[in-house]
Amino acid sequence: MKIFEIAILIVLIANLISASQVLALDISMGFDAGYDNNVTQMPDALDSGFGNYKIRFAQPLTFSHPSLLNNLDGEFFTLFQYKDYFAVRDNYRLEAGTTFSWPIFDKRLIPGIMSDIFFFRDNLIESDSRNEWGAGVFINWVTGNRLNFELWHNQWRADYRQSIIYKGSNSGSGKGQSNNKNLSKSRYDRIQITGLNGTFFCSSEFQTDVILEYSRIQSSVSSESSRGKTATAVLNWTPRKVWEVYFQGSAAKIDYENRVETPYREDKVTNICFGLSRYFQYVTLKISFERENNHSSLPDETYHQEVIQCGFILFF
Amino acid sequence: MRIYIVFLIVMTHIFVCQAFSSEVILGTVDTIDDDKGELQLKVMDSSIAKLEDKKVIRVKIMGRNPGLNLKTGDVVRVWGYHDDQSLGVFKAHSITGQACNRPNRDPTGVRSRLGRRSGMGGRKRGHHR
Repeated sequence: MKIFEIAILIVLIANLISASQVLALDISMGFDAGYDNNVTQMPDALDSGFGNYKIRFAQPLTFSHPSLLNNLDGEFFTLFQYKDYFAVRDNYRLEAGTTFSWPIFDKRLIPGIMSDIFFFRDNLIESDSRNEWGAGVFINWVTGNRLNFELWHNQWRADYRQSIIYKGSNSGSGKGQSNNKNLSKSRYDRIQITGLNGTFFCSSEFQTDVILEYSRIQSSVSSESSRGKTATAVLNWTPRKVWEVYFQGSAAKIDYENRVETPYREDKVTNICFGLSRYFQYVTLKISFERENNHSSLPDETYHQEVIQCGFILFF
Repeated sequence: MRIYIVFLIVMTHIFVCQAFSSEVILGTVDTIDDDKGELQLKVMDSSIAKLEDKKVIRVKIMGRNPGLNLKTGDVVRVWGYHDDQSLGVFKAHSITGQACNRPNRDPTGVRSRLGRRSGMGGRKRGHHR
């Protein structure tokens, strides 16, 4: 059955591509060098310089046939990123996905769908290595001459490569004894995210974004299940459209599923970020600084992190 | 943190001053005349009260507008001023794309900077590290 479904999917994608006007492939390569004062985001910080290498292929599609597909826009993309920490172990990720949107009502409303798969391998914290896949829906609403809204809902599943080993207890065969032995449990998360982004265009060079997100993680490990609320504000300034300056601040509250057998946990995360970019025709130069604080009710989950990095992106 | 708050206050002040300093028309590109540096715009919404009844307006592009490849059907925001003396032509000093014509869901990079914090990608905090 699965093979049949995959075959239908391949045929559908092939049909979509053949019906589309294939535009030039967008390729971008990026490199950042920087310093992270707390790579593992733990109280006992491990600091390290790093190099971050990225390559992204994107194939935009546009459908110009006078049919139901008219005005359908799409994109397939693949991203590979390798992050090399000089003092600790590296990590890398591969991501591939697709997005389709279909403007309606004179392009006032733009609903769309997206889907992607994500492979992450971490040689420092190997238990973080995982595969994710998911899909989502979104809708853009061009509200007026200065205001846009976007609403989205995504659902994901993350399968971790390592099982959880924990000590289980069995009542020993009615003799009042208890046997402790290691038990293994597969680890996966079901992730749901709902978000709203309001963009206010103050002028051609200034815009501000407010983003509200609600996330729900249902994990096979009960202590990892959580509900999170995040609010983010961004001020963006693009003088002469060749520079970009942004300030971003966000605050999140994450309530973990608290049960009798697990310690009470509630995290409050604040994050600020400042960035500067200079755009040339085929090159973007950028520098950014980010600071994150997590105040957790569990002392060993409280941390403070600062990352500064600079780099460039080449466009082909 | 204090420096950041001062930056934020200064930026907010600039934003407030900048906001509403120029007029804006939201519309769909109808025709493009590269030689004259003009385009016809189907008006969807406008910050100018007297243009509310206008369905189509002629836009004269003043100077160059880097990084924007317009095509008919694009939804754009045109920034500038309305000149009554030049037969109702809207003089545009800047045109910004709607960023919704392409399914680029992160035109300003905000999402990627958020770092998939809600549970996807990157590192994830938890007991099982």
